[in-house]
Amino acid sequence: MGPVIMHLEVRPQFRKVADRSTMLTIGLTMMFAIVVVADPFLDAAQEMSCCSLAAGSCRNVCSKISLVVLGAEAEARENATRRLLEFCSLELTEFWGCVNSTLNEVKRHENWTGRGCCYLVQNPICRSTCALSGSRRDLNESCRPSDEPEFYSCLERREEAEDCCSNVSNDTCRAICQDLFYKPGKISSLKLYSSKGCFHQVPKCLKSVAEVKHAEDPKQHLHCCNVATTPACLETCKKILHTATTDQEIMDALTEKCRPVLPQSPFWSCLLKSGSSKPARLPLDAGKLSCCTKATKPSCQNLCWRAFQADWESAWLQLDAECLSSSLEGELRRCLEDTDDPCEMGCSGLSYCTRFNDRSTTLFRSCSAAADEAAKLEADHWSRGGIVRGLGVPVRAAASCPPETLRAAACLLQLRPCETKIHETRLCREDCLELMASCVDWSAITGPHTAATLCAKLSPARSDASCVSLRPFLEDPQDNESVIHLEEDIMTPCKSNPCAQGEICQLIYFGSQLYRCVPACSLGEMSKQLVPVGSWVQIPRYDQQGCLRICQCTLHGLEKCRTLNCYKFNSCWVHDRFIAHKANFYLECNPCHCFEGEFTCSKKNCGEVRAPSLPCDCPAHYVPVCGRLGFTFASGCLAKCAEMSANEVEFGSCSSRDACTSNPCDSTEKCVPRTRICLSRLHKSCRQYECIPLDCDPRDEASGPVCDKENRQYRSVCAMIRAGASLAYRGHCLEGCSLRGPVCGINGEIYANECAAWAERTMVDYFGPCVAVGLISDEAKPRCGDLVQCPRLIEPYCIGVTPPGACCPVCGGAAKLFYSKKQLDRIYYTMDEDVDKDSVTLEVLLSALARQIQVAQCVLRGMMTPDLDIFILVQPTSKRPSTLQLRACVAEIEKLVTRISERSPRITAEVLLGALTRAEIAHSYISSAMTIGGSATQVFLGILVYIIIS
Amino acid sequence: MRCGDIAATAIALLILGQIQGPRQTRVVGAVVVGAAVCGRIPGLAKSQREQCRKAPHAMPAVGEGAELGLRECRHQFRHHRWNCSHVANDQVFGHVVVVGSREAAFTYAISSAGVTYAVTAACSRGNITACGCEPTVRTRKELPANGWEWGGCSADVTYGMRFARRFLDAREVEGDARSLMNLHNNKAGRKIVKALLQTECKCHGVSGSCTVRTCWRTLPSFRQIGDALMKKYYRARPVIAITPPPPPTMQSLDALHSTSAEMVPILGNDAKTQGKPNDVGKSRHDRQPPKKATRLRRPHLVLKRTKSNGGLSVGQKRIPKRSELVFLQPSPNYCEPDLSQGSLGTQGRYCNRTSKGTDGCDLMCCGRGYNTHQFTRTWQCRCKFHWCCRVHCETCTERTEEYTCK
Repeated sequence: MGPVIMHLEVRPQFRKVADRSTMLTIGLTMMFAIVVVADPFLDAAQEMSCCSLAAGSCRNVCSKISLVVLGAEAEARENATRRLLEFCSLELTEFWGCVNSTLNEVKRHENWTGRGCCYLVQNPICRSTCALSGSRRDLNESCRPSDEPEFYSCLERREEAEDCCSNVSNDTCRAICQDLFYKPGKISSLKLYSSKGCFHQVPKCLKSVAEVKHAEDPKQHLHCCNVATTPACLETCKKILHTATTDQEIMDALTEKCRPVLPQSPFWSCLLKSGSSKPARLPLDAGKLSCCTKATKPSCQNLCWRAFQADWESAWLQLDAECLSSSLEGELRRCLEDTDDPCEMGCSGLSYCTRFNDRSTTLFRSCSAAADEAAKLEADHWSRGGIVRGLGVPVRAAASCPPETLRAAACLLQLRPCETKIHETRLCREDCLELMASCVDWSAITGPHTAATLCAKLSPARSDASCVSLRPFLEDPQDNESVIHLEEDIMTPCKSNPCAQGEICQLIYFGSQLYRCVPACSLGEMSKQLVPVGSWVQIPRYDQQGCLRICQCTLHGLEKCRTLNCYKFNSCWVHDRFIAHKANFYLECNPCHCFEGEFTCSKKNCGEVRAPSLPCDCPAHYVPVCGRLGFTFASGCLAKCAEMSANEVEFGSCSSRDACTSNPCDSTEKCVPRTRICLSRLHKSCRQYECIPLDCDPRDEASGPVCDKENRQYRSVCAMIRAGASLAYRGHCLEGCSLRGPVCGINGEIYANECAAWAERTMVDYFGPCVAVGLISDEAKPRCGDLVQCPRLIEPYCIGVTPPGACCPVCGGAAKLFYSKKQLDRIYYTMDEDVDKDSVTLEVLLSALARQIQVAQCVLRGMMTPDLDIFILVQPTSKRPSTLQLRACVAEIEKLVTRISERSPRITAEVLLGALTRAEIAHSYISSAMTIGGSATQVFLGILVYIIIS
Repeated sequence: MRCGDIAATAIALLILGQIQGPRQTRVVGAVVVGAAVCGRIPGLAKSQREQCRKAPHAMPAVGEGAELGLRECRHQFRHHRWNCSHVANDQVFGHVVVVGSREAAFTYAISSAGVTYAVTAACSRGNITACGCEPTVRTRKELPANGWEWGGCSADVTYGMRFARRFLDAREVEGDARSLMNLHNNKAGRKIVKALLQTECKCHGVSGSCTVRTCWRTLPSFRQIGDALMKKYYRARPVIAITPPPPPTMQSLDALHSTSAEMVPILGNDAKTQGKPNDVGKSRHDRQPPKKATRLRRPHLVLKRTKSNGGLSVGQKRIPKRSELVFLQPSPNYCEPDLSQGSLGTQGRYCNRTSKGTDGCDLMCCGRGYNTHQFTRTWQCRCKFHWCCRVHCETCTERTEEYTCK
């Protein structure tokens, strides 16, 4: 019961009347007497002032009697009267008169059900009104529903009970009925209700009240018991969560033992958070989050997780100060830089850092007008004698420092050129020492500082570490040839991101446009990294480190999230030793990489004489078989070598088979071939066709444009079917390719013409149907002898490669990629819709890789090697490329290889690319050495023939 | 409009949660324990319980905020006669301040600020799923040219304010003068959090010359908010609620135009329209006679005429500013206990004998005098370590006096 004391009850309309105070206080305008003495305006109902009419022990006793209690219980009234009789003299007629009239007043409305709620009232005025009221209307003046939510809901419940239970004729039953309303959840009362023979009298309205709601798996909240503050609470919590089935029971027990119910207290807060179906929030920056495992110090790793999951504000500054400047955390720093400012090719258009212009194949992290401007401001600041604070000690530039050096240093720090091996941007130690020696005003430095201590922040400590040298930037670019027609030669239209927010820029290779903008998702609220709609991204899980979630980017953001897998960081068992997860090692002459218990090695022949050969020493016979996963092996031997059993292959190349001949589609659908190379061996059947409903909408462009055999373009497959045409290839009709055919692709498949080969991200090995398989070797030269006439190289002396298994060398940058087969299987397994499962293909992987290419004059193509590795090529789009274009394409592939081997977030963010474990450069220099032995004349003849034919 | 957005997001998130949740099967009609807790938190209004059930994981932040506000209130008023104690004070939610005084204004404003603050902070920590970084900051273009850019994750104060508004304003259902006052002060509390957001910057590059910076907005310490609200408390304005007369006839409409224009902003006191960015535009649009008439007949607050502004004509100044605290009734002197006035009296309060301020015994005890308690405090001091292994300390004593009001 509340502490409200009788003599304080004042009717509101009289509040302002009684100013008897003589307090000497300033500035306060109104005061109220605590003792309302016999005021002429007091009516009988104002009985609670009765106490003031008494004195001594009587007054004491009187003041302890609560009006609210009097109002609610007849028994309390009797008790009160008895006690007053005991302590108060009957001579106090005035007092007793007052008391009697009050009791009468209280009794007058004692049947009002609301009386039982008065104890819930907070406001003292409302409280006394309640104790005397006879209906809800009487409360209007003194009570505010917004202040008394509990009181009013109690009133409502009681009114409801009245309505509901009034029809129950039996008195006992009616009492139990009302009790059910007053204390909902006491199942015992419902049982009581039926046990007393009231069951047949259950009114309809009661059923909803007595309905028992089952709590959903209460045991899942057991962990909250551990944060209980009292032993009683802890015990009750454990017991009730194990035994109770309804939330009512649970709450009754917990509210009793774990008082007070404060949402911010650890225990209740845990319960509130634990039960809710709170969806896991996407991290602030999923790309950066994937870098966190690269931190060497556990504290840095932890800060990194916090900063990029959600708690950026408190963790980031600390991460920046304690970890990112440390030379130990170079890998983490580079990885984080890669998310916002990846190393991209070329820099031009700078007005201050002019010496950095026209270096089209050098990589920069932030080549922009803003960085140029910042470099200028910085250099100005230094040359004015401004203090440099970032080196640990305040440093001033020496007046003797050559302005050009100062400018180059400022530009280097702002534009951040990258070296090629690991995309490091830090200055080389030697250059730094030189710079410090000549450009620092040593007279102004106090303390034991040397050039070496100052350079600790700017440059890597080890002399063999990758670094950027300042020297090349002190001179104009040497390669005059590259400077001349740079603008036309190489374009990177996506570099300054011309697209609107929420769109990603993609290069295109048809029409006059160089790029298009497609809707994209960012990898978190804070992330600048974008992936196009349709692609799958992988996000590290904060709650379980080492685990991944994958989500698909849709027009509404990242959706369809599900758990992919958790890395247990298993080490690999190789022959006789364990190799740690993510470690590199050598097996004979071949570099290998261990990834989650699975190791991938490059597959060079390590014999004394490195003779060209095929895997498993298979003979170079060309008797193609088509594997189950949509990929052609040049011979059964090679298929067997790739662990394909006899019933998984069929004779003939995959391209020679028409998946639609067996009529796999319904009668209401049209079968259209669609070649795929599936990457997961779990793939039951790698479908090589798709079924288009006959009633499809030709305007639906979701499938993308297609090109028919007459080289006519349609906006969709459906539109092509309607026109009665047959498919040549998917995508826009390509230009610049020859329509002569058939041709043999580097992957051993036969294509109708060069355009069809290009459309499938592959290229022509030679003209005519496939007739041979080439032996694999590092050297780029023709591999099929007399059987094949190789087309002329676009440039007689170029950097290039003979793709593994193909016959003829090609110009361009090339690389071999190795991947975790288990990871691809996991990805396949996690996808539950067929459409999504079909995205675990080589085509999807290659187009994801192609998005990394920035130079519009280079195109990425690829294939599976006979070893089942992935082979990629970056080639100039033009058939007569300039030297610079060729070089740019080579630089692009080198950039890609570095990103893959460094597991840059640019790679690991996308699900399929995340399965790539290693990459190695496969191109070398092709010289006139093409003319080896007797084949020289034939090659020459071949070229002649090619020239004549074309 | 905005409510719809939130609801849609909430539904989307729920669906997403269902997909992501490890257990795909749910007992039909089952109640999540977290939501059941909402039924037991004391002091919540019906609509607040509903909101709690929808987002139980946000409730710890709300509780924290309310407590934060209360603690700050007690700190700010520790030397005053009224020390932020209320007659019914056993709960964090749903403070009941009997009189619509200056103190009531402060109580409402500080707890509203507290909830805004705590929810915003919880967003930053990632404890609430529906919010994250302040989105408007990133798209804002009005940046100084010199290498400045917004970056990182700014405090999502918009969400915090919206949440506090939806949660706290839901309680005020009466629509009377006191409701208007509470809503106004709630709003002032929210606004002050936004107004006091700080901009932090980080310089890029090794050189530290700070030519390029990334900046973001962070919450100040809550003490700063308390201090600022305290200033507003001293400058709080007395107001009265008026219900404008019934719609004028067409002839007199023009004459009334100036008055009606000034009455528009106060409609922002209404819980439903408050805080919407298009408030002004909307109300302007609503100046079409038929709508205006119904809207303007709603009661709103205007400044009471005092000596200082009494001379002003019926002009714009009569509407209290949104950032000002407003009160309806004068404060009691808080000297003697009077529950009906929300006063607990100052008996037993500690006072400072030498101070001339409100914490001084003269003012604090309202001239009733004070009791002096003398006691001796002893503690261990000048501890010395002796090899090995003993620590020797001396005992220090100090006589102190404490004064409590009679």
